[in-house]
Amino acid sequence: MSESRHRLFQAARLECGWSLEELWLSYLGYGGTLVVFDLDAYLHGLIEMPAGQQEVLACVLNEQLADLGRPSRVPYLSNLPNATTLGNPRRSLPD
Amino acid sequence: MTPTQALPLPRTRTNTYQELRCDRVIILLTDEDPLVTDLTRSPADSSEMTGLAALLAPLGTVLLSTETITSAVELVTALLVETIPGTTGAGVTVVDSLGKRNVAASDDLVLEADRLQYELDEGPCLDSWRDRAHLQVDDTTIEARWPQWSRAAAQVGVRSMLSSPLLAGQDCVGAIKVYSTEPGAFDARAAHLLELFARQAAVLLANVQTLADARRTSRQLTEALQTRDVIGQAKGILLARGAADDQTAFATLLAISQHTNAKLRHVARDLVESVTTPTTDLQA
Repeated sequence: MSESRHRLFQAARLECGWSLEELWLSYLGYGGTLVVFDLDAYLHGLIEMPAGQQEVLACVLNEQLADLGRPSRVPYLSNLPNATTLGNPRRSLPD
Repeated sequence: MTPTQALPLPRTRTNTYQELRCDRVIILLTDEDPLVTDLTRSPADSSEMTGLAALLAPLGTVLLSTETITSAVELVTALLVETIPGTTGAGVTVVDSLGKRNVAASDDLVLEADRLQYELDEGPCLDSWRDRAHLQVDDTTIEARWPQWSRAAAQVGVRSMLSSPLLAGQDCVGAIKVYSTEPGAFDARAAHLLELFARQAAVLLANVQTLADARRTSRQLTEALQTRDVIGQAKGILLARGAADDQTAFATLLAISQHTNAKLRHVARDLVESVTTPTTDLQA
């Protein structure tokens, strides 16, 4: 799955109409840690990206796709944590 | 070297800018540039060429005091009318990296002659830009290279013109042109002057575009860092409440974002606000 996953991100980037730099800026804003050069390398399948960073990248792309009214989404890697597993952190947040 | 006549230059506002202006003039006029070559090789013409250099010098200074590409193309247009002998009207067209066209013209005649080119999709300025060529029309009533445009231009009163591409390095950022209501208004010297002028103007306009791009990037970067800051704070709160690591904290924000159909940055902002300004909005 991880071997072809970068294609999903690349396709989503194009659907968003984002340049590499625009994607990187949004990703940076959401806590991304890869430099633009490495992000480019990942999108072209040249290097791996840590799972947590892939979630950040998927999040900014999915939010932009939603803003544009597009139905497509990049699937998230992990199962989203259940509200009860973290207990404490979620306790003060709305359901 | 100071301009010898009054030019429509934006005034600089601080001493710092003034010093930078001087630097910029020196840089431009000491470059390996045909203008400088001409200045040193034609002593007979020296007074005239010094006058030209004085006219062109403001092009090098304007970068630091010009706010937008629009005011830059307007300045270049105004200088064109001053610089090229025989000119009735002048125009500048700049195409930015996004394909947006910025147009400035000294009068309605130029605007109309320009509009006709885009409407008919033929004309010397378009070819000047596409082919990166310096082009000259001596009489629109007999010009055969652009038959439709020439006929239309003659009807609105344009009889002769010169057009030069704006070449900055490998890029062609647009074209400049001067028009006259008289046939054969431009001689070889005027054509040469326009070529020199185009070189200087291209450097200016390319730099203003770069500056505009940099400003845009700077603003976007600032926004991104502000968002990142809030998300970082939110993750910190989750860590303090027992989230295993940074990745888990982000996953939690993501889960809430999906569950509430709110953007992740808004989830983060709400979480941070719930801590910094204790309210009863969120159930404790």
